[in-house]
Amino acid sequence: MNWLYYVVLPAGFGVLSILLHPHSARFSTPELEAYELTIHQAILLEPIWVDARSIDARERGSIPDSIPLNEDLFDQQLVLLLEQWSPGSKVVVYCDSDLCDASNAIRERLLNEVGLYEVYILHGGWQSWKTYSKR
Amino acid sequence: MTFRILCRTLLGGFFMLSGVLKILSPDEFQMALLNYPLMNYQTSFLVAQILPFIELFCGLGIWFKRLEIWGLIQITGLLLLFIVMLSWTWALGLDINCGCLGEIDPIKGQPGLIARDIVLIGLAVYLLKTSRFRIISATTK
Repeated sequence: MNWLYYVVLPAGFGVLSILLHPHSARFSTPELEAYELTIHQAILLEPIWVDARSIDARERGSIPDSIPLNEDLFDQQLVLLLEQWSPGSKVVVYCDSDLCDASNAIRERLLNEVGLYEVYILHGGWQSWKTYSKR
Repeated sequence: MTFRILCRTLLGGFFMLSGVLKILSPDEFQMALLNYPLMNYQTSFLVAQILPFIELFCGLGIWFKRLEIWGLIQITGLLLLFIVMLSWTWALGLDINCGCLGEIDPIKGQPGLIARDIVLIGLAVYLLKTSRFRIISATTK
């Protein structure tokens, strides 16, 4: 009776959840592009964080000491990044989650228009930071 | 008797709430788990999908006489495991989201979370002791 309730039922519901839940957990490690970093990899680099989200999104919270740099205000905000950047600096751009394209767009512009190098994207974006840290 | 009901409500309620919140978003719980040492995607996948249901069934089970003892034993074991994992991350200096109750968790930081788990173990042990006492007294009559 007890093993049925405490082992079989949770396992059964767990399997059902895997099959039916729209937000079930992921079994395999996501394949990252060479320029994508997990939150742990990014933190080890002690990078300059660049927040590619909108001002509204940023007001709800951001990575401490991150620099705002979104497409709409790129030219005005770029100076904030260049003030902190020096040769050898690593830049990690983030937006809301894996589903947003803002960090890709900003990364492309930093590489192609500004000529920076070692510009990465934070895999999972702001969501992964929020999960990582309570700050 | 009233104190037992209070303990059971607190302990069972906590585990049911914890289970349900995790069941609603296993992907978020998995992201929290990945911050812990020894966790990779495969391990965290299993834990994220199964543990919430174990918590839910434990929280429910302690309300039923026939299931109570094993539910309390499992809850105590789980809480001890949580304390070990939290202490480990604390010792490593990791500032992590514990994944316990998600964003609604009012307690932040390992010391507070460990203290809460110790209080919950206290409740479980009390319920276990009084349950055993009742079983022994029932069989000796």
